[in-house]
Amino acid sequence: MTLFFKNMDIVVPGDVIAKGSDYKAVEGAFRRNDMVISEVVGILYVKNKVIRVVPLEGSFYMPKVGDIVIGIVIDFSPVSWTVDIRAPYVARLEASDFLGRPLDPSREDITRYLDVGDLVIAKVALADRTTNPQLIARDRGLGKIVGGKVVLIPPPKVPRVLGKNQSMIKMIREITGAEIRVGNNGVIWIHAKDDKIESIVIQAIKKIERESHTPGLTERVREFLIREIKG
Amino acid sequence: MIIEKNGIILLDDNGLRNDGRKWNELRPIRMSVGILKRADGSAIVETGKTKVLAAVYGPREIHPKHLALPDRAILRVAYRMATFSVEERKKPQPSRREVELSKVIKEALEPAVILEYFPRTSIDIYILVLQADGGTRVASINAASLALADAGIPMKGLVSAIAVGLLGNQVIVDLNDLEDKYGDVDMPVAMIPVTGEVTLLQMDGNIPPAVFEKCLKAATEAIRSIYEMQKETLRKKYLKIKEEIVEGEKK
Repeated sequence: MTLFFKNMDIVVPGDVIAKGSDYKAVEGAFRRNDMVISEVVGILYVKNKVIRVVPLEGSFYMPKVGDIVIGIVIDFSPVSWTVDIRAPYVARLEASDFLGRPLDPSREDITRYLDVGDLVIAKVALADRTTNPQLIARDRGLGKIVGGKVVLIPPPKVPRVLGKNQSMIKMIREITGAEIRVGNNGVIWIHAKDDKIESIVIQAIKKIERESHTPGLTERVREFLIREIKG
Repeated sequence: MIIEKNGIILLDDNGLRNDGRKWNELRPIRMSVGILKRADGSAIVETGKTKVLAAVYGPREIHPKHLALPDRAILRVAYRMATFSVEERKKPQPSRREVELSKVIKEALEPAVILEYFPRTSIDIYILVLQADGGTRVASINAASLALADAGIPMKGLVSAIAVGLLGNQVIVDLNDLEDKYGDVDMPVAMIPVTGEVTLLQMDGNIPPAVFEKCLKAATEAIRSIYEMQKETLRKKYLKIKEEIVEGEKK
């Protein structure tokens, strides 16, 4: 019945957010008897008695089916690659899920397509508690990445970089004209016509990472970009 | 009542302890989080002259692989004392005491961490005592629980700990090294304050149940105030950035 915090407040593990059976905890919080308790350091969102705590900390990524991730190839077998996606588990990418056709290892060398150290953008096709995640890179916009720069941010901050309905990332793309791909695992790939713009985008992303919990961020980033590009 | 042992006055006739504290007074505590850049989460806790650093890594891939559990993560704790942390140089190899304390601290933290979210992984905590003046295990638990929260690892609640003890009949809270050595009872207690669960309780010395109850009550009160400090420390990191921005906008 009672709420002990305001919407957008910062909560820490063990904070009793609300008391009463009518509140529902969906993310980052759990129920114990009649209390809703936060389980992470994060920002509290309350809407229609639904409680959500969006984490602020965490340098790990937990794979979810349908996520877009950017990973580095760390190993290969005759018919598949092992990809590091910054998760506690290594992901597997089958050659056929990358090429769109079966690969005959006796005729073709798999490293012709992707070698150790290459960057690949892929979708999580399979992720459950018992097995390592599987990737798929057959759709449009997925596949090997060449050129550009890569920035790493903590995965919980990815939604901030994207913004509501992708508003933040769209704005950055419009102002700088850079090509930007954001992986849900906190890997961001930037490709622009010159180094200067690339480094401005990187600075903007670092700014979002640091100030992710503050209101009015999109406007501040817009001002920052315009100022930097002019100067 | 004066309590004196080996020429050291542990309790004077005003009821003050050898460092001038009242029976239930804590030593000054300083906490901060996020101090190590390369760790996923980190914290330092200073209680008086005791200084403890904790670093958390994970959840991450587990090595050796056979230790992995199919349904949850494992927690690994390494408690170490720096060679310069005590008066006489401590030999660097892990001692019996360090191995035991690692286990005890692990078991004090385990009930708080929601390990089921990360099957087949490990969460590693490294604790280094930089300076020891009594109460290092409780300072370690306080630091490790802050570091876990700083690493973004989901928990049922923070774990807070304090040592209580006896000087004669007098209950004392937050023992320093001298009181630990020459006092009559030493009782470290760790709790998850939100749920009231006790996750660590050790004791040496003999006391009747009624006195034990008194000690536990004193510990619970001290733990409450430490818990508030821990929560404040975690929030402060973000509020500071928020304030900076509000001030920047005013200008």
